[in-house]
Amino acid sequence: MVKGADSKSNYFQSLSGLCQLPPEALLRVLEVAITVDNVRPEGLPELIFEANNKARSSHVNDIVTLVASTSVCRYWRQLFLGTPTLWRNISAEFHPELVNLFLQRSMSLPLHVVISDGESTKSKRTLKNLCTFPTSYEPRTERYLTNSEVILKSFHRIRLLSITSSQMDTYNSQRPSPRFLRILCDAFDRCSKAGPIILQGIEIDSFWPPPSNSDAELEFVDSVLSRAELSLSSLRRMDLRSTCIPWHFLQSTSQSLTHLSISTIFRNVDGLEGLKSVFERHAALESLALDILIDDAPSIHPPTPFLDNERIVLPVLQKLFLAGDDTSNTSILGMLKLPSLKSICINDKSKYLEGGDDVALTFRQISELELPSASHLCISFEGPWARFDLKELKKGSFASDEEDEVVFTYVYAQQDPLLKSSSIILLSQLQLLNLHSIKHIDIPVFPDSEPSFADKLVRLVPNIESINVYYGHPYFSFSTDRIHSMLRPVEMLWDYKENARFHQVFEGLGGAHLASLRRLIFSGIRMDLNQDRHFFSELFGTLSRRVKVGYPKVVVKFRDCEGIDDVGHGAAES
Amino acid sequence: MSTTEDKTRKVKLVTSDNEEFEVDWEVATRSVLIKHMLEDIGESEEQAIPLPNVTANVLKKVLEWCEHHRKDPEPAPESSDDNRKRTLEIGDWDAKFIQVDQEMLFEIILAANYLDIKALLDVGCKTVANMIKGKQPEEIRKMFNIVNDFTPEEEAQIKKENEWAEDR
Repeated sequence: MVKGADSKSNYFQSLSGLCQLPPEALLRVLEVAITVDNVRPEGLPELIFEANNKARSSHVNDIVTLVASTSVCRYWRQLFLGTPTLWRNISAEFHPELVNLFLQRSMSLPLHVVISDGESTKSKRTLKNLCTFPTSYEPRTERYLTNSEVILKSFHRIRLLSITSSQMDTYNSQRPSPRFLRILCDAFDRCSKAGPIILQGIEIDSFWPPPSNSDAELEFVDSVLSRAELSLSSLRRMDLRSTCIPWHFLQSTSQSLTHLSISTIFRNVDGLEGLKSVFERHAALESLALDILIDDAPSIHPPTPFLDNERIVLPVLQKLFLAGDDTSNTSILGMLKLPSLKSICINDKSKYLEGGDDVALTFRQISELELPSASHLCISFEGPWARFDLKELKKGSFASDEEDEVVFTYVYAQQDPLLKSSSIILLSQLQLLNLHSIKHIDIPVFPDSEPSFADKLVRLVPNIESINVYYGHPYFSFSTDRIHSMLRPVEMLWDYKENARFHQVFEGLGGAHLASLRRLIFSGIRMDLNQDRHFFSELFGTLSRRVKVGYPKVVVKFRDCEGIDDVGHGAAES
Repeated sequence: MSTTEDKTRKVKLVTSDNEEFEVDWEVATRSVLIKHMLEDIGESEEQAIPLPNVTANVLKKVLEWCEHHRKDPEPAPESSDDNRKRTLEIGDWDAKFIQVDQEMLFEIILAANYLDIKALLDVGCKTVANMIKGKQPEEIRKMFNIVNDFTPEEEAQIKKENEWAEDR
């Protein structure tokens, strides 16, 4: 492919050092450049990141950079167009002409595709247009449906399939769109007759009909899933989120499943029994994430454990994430034997009473598990008052008499802003733990926190290296100086959706309390070049002044920010 | 697997401009190429490893990186199918290390590629990737001194493709 570049082009491009790189290095550059940055923050336990689904939906690359890179010179164009792996990730969101180009340029490679019946409520176009035309905005349903149809014609090439519903009800549309259901049914019908299927992973997300629309629900369950079952014989990975999937679907799909993630599924009766039969079918599971509430879990607490010979052995399961109330979690744990489990993450959604000792009970439940291979533990509590996530065990045992061995490197702590005593409760829990090794902390900050909260917290986490501070909760103003001054973070995440309070970042940046800051990350922010020019001018001016007085340079990064390219350019000029 | 003896051993490297560097075995073997060459020549400590594709000033810089990362674990082999864990993030030290002019940046990438130092190659590629990301073709050309050698017909097609990509 590269050898085909003509000599004239080679001569001209010899002037550029970049074009002298070997093709594999240039390809590597582009592969990285088009990757949508969706990686686990340093210090965040892998299991929490995976369980929170943040690692997903990264199949679609940055196609603007990809296409722009093919437009630089002939050498690059020939190289990139002749590399099918760059073009294998396709979304129904693309312009229809691009869908065709991607299908051609990926040649016969297995595809990773996202299909949908309309754009997501979080898509850039939606956000932009809802601001400009809030009453007349219509999602591009026709584009999505037509593209989905075109993409699914290559079903025999699809390795990873993500099915989502736009969730955007408009004047003329019904979700999930009946036409989308028909497209899916036709695709599954065709593929079952057309020969071998290579589908290895399927994600179904936000795909549930309104509760009143039982016909559509039945059509989805009966028509799509019953057809899909036949196509999923080689499936290894399944992620189901916010959708309506009956147990029997999971009981009849491929037995080669190694990754199963279920989050908020509806209308399942016989929860425990149904789940048991799913486990019995999928003995090859290596990773299991369940974010569900079991309706028929025993109401006695703690539930009577299964007898040893009644437990289902998942012999190769290494990662387990459970998010349910205490009874659901304990019931699921009680029915399993997990000899190879290495990481366990439990999110307890029970509503504990303030001041109760139920937390200790949860610890006891974990400590009674037989987990000979486990090395990582994460527990989070989600009550009305506080929550924290913990990691990790030094020794491979959860026995209660070895609690001293627990060394935590990460804390996610959340206080209830409406409850005055929230920070006190949080501190009382944290004090029970060995937090001297904590390097990373995520903590929302509230004005009503107990006055000495920061002083006490810093004594618990003396070796902190980074902090993510989430600002901008809509119903309170904040004052974060104390936290900043005590914790001396090196990283801050600015995750505020409105621009109005941008100036508050200077409270920290201008002063000594953010002297250690090295990274400032803006996330999910919508920019207006004209409105925000002054902010960025001030921001970069402040950062320059910091360097002049001896503070370290601050790297400013933008993640999923609208209109940021222009702003970044302007800021660079300033 | 390295032995204690290996860790105290010194390795001689000779660059294309005939300069000799003596470095610790642990530092030199960040390069898979050098590691394999050392395995081939066995115990012979006196024998210098020729590196005909690397000049002294570039090797000096590469060895600075290897010295800093001498204790790093071996990088895990990357699955060609899985791009989920790729990231544009560069560590603080690496970001400072790679703040060099374009010529040196490309020399480092070339050397890392030749010496088979995957992690250093990654740092170089990410640096260039960060420079490219989100840029228009004309901006990329200007930044890297690349000549636009498309015909007007090709330009027309390319323009359309870029408009389609922006239309989301």
